[in-house]
Amino acid sequence: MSIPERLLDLGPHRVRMRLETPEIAPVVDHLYAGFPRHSADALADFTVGVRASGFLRRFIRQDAIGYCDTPAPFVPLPRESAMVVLEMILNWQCGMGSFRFLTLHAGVVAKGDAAVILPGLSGAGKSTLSIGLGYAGWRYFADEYALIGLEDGLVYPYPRPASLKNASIDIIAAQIGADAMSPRYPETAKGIVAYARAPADAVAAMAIPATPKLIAFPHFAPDAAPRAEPVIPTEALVLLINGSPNYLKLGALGFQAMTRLVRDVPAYRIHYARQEQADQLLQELLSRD
Amino acid sequence: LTQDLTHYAVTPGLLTAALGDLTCLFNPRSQTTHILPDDTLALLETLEAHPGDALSVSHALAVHADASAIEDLPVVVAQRLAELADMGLVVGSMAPAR
Repeated sequence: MSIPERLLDLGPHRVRMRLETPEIAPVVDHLYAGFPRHSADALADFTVGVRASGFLRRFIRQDAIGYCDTPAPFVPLPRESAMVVLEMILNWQCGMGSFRFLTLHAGVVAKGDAAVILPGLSGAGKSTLSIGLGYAGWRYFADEYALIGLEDGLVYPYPRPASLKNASIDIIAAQIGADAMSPRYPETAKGIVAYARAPADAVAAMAIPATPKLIAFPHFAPDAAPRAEPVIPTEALVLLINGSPNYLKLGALGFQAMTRLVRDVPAYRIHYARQEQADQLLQELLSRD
Repeated sequence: LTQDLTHYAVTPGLLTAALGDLTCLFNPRSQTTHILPDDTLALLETLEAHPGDALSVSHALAVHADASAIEDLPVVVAQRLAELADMGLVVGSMAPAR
């Protein structure tokens, strides 16, 4: 029996997804509707997949195990969370396996050609903010990785579904509608996880890069007064290096791309309690340029 | 100082970038990134053009980077070169580099 596959263009990457847990195929088709799809015999940049645990293991608990071209250190999750495994393994492969781009752990949105990079480690609120803004007048580029072109310094879209956790799920579902959401996956290390589909206009424009104009480290707090604080280039550099999966792999190319970015693009830390506040702050900061 | 005959040169392939008041350096040998005071850049640029021992580098620095006002410049340069050598950003040898 052949393994269900999806061969999709995800931003600058063509990815083969091998769905050995075929029950996630409808979810993949729902979340990735609109992404250019290719026949199985086409070439791919990356292959990622999810398989079920072996025969004996199934009598204890059936797990979903991810695999990809780049060795990955992930532990299995229950098979019910196979979609989470697929998204995690896609993140890993993109973050570690991209050699044409400096990858930064960051969300990205844009107004016209002006891209805003929203760096943050897991839990910083970058996914919620990125996808929320993407449905509120901004162009959604990514919720997980900013892809910085090594040669041109531009930001390339990678508009995969946004990964939302816990309270963020209801907030975004209320904004964009339940139809644009995946099922909820409860058994993960980060709590409940669900995915929000990228806006159709973001997918349609995913071949068009933008110029980085602003780096904004998001800091959400329910009682925060909206404000922005400058971040000096060297602090931005250290924070971005810490959040870059492939900086060390790229060597001198990574250094050149990273220093050019923090030298040319102003950086701020933004504090906000609501998406509209962050929206306004970002627009004000962009207008200073 | 006059007995210190260590001959210094910039580590081959070293990359530098000025970021505000600091200098960012990347050492391709160790694949490490360093952030150091901005005067490091002037010292490395001088050393790039005039590899040599601490005394000769301090003379070149005084001329090319207008550092003549620094008190005990040869001693300061010797200390900085030794620190940079410890970090692998410059290489020291007992024989002049060819």
